[in-house]
Amino acid sequence: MTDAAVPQISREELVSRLYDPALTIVNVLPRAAWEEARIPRSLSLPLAELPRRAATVLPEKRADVAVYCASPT
Amino acid sequence: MGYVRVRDFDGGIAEWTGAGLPVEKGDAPAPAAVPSAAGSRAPEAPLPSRGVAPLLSAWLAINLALGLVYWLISYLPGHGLREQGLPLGHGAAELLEAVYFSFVTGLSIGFGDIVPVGLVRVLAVLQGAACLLIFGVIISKLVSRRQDELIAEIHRIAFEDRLGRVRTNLHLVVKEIQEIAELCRDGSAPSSAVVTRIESAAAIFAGELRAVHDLLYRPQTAPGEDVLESILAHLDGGLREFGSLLACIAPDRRDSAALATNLRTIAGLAEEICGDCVPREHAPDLKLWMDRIQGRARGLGVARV
Repeated sequence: MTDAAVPQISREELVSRLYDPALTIVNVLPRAAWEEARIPRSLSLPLAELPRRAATVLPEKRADVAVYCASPT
Repeated sequence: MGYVRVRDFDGGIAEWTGAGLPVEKGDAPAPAAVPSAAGSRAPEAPLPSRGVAPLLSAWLAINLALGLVYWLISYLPGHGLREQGLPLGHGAAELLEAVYFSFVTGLSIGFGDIVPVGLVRVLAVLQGAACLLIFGVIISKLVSRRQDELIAEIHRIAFEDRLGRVRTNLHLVVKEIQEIAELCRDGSAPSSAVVTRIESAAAIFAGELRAVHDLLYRPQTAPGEDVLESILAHLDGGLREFGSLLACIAPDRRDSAALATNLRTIAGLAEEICGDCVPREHAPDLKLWMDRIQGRARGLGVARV
């Protein structure tokens, strides 16, 4: 979602901020994978829908966002 | 795309599940908060476990263990505990006295009735420091937990207040739209006055629609389904009335900057409200309302933002 290389968030930080409302967690896998298993509180924003729906799902451009997919790429 | 604080959890769901962390399944997020009296769900998340019991247990264990150590050290000549200048003995009663000394030291009280000698002095200082640290952490956890509870309560109250205002404002704006439509139909008011009132109503309607849109697109702040259904019904009614009102005014009058902007906002936001496009799964009745809202948005015949 940014032009530069995306910085990483560690698992430990993600766990510690799991219920932090200031952090939006986004699952970019297809909807079916999101339904199968997801990190609690994740929003579904499949990669294919990213250009169209990013502005509505993530209206705040300066918000803290953690994105994840299936496994290390 | 302009997002400046995005970070990637590289391990993905595979690492998450591999670490044995909890996951959500199914097409609706797990309920995350306590239902309120109004049937809405406040935007709070369950507080993470912050039990102080493990710390208290550690504190107790340290004091008990060091009491035993002090008693054992008394076997070494020149080390141990002294009471009224005399070394403590090695019996069970002396063991209890050593434990008593240990707790007095752990609590940083220091009565002075029993004093450490030799190696025990060093241990007692370290024990005092460690126990103070643990106590500090316990107090901080208790205070922090209370603060989190208060903040969650404030958020809940503000959220319910906001939901109430959304419903009230939608009701008022629908009433206003109906009144304007009456003026428009009987031609009793000048066209410019009608357009000004429509502009004003459109601005309020767009604001409330944005609030509803945010509710639907942020599952962690979603209200209860009964509350949501009521809001969606109001919204649907508002869009219906708005559509019929627009038919009253000449197309060139719609070109006023304020009205055109608000109409595009209304159409754009309402277009994104449908059963399958919001990021959370809802009951069929709610999806029906959402689909109707999307249909009404398309019926407005206004280009999206």
